[in-house]
Amino acid sequence: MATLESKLIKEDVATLREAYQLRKREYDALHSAGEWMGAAMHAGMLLELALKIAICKNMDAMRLPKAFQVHELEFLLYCSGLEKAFKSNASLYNNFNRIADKWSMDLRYQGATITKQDSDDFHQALFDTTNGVLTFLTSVL
Amino acid sequence: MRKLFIEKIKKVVHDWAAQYPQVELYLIDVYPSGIGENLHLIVVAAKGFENWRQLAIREDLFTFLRKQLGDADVVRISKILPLTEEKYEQYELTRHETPVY
Repeated sequence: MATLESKLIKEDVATLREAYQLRKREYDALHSAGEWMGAAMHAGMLLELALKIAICKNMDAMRLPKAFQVHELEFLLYCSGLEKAFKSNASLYNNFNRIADKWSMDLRYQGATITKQDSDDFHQALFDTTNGVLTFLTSVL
Repeated sequence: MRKLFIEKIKKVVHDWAAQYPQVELYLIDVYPSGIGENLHLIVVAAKGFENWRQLAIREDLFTFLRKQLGDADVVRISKILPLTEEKYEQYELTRHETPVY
């Protein structure tokens, strides 16, 4: 029978937070360098990590269950306990969906399908001072 | 109730497209996402999307839907995906695949 240990990822939530900070620095570097595809990949990864931290917080758990080791942002938001908060602000929820509709891990297999404008749209959706998705998430995590 | 709402969404998308003479709609698909009460909306154009950035179409359509449906209803749509016919064919081929991690 599988142990509980085997059903959890090995990194704890503090490590996920460190990983978030590292991915954020990588994101900033890629965006500043005009690497739009890489910046877009990292934008989605940042959001994914933030939602996984939110799930840990929602469950009051130190380690993320492997069942949440997926990349579907809509599913992760649903499990984070924050969907209602997002849906109470249509602009914030739209910013979330701007990323979720366009981003997937399949982007890693693609060439330059993300333009500067797409990358700028992602950036605004994440970091807008009023309704940015990560602006909101980092304020509650 | 959901059926009526889906029909309402389709009507609003038709009204949105009518503003753009260059856009010829091919298909409007609205279906439950399987997560909560969320719905996904796919809008396929036979013409008119080729030279319009996908995220820009999406934003324009969202703004129109929000105006027509109101905030409480527009948040029931968790995906808005505008596609050309060609992109739709590719999308259809892969949409039911299990994601590779």
